[in-house]
Amino acid sequence: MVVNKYSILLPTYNERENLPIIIWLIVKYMTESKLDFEIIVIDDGSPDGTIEVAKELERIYGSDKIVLRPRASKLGLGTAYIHGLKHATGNFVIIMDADLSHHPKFIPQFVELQEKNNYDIVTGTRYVGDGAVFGWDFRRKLVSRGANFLTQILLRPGVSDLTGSFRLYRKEVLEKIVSSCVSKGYVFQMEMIVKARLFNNTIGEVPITFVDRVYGQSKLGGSEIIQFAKGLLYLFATT
Amino acid sequence: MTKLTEFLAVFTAFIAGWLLIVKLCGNNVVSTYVLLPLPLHVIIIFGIYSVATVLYRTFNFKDCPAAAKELQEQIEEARKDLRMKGLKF
Repeated sequence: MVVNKYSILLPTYNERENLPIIIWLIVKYMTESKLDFEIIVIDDGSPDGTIEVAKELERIYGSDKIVLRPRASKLGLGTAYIHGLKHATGNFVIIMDADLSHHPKFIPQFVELQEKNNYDIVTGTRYVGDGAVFGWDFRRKLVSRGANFLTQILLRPGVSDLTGSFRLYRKEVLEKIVSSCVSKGYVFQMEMIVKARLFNNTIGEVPITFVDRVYGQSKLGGSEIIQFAKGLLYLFATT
Repeated sequence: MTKLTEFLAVFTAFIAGWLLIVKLCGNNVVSTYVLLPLPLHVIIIFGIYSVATVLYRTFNFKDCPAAAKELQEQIEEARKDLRMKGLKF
């Protein structure tokens, strides 16, 4: 029997406060579920000294568990995943945000569903079943639901949460998808799952609770909405 | 075929079918009150469906205060444990 190993990619930028907590939580849940794992921290030269804290954590948990692969400057999410993937030794890769909005307690559920149905991808979803959010006002919920509805109509992706970024991938599947994506930000997550469908990858969903940024500000302004609309139209016309 | 070409194909087929039926029916009451405004009615009904769906889903978007509370408690627990392991915050 092949024993699976899970490489968790954590791109960070100014996550000095959150990084120790997220790593502590990942270690806790992966250890409890007896899953083999490594955490790859890709810090893009955070001015708040995230990397100093990351080094401390590497010392505490060991360099086999905490792998530091920093970059000199902010280069975007897509290249962060490519960079992290190069150093990933697991046969599965988990991507999640380091800001505590994604709780590591869901990872064992992702793994269980993947094993049960032999999925290529398992994605967290805020929009179905017990999926829920915390810290969103009416406007934020309305924009989110509206954008999601529009996306479902235009792209019919067969996945309920396209902009979420808490997902488990087979490593070779993620490598193929990432290298075919060109978008940035929110749209990047959307493009990844749409491309996955194009490549006929199988996708499972696990409802998650999403607790919006405990520290720091999560923003959704006019420019994010315009960026989203452009990305949506781009995917509508090209995929 | 991209989603855009799919959409255009369905759209063109619908309009072509509509034009054909309008032509065949000629000038009568059904044509004036049902057939001619049909595309407009479809758009209006779809619009109402969309607004109703989005509003329904917005009002039924679940909150998770328990998850937020659990996270806050775990943050405290993690801090305490990490301090013991020698991490300086």
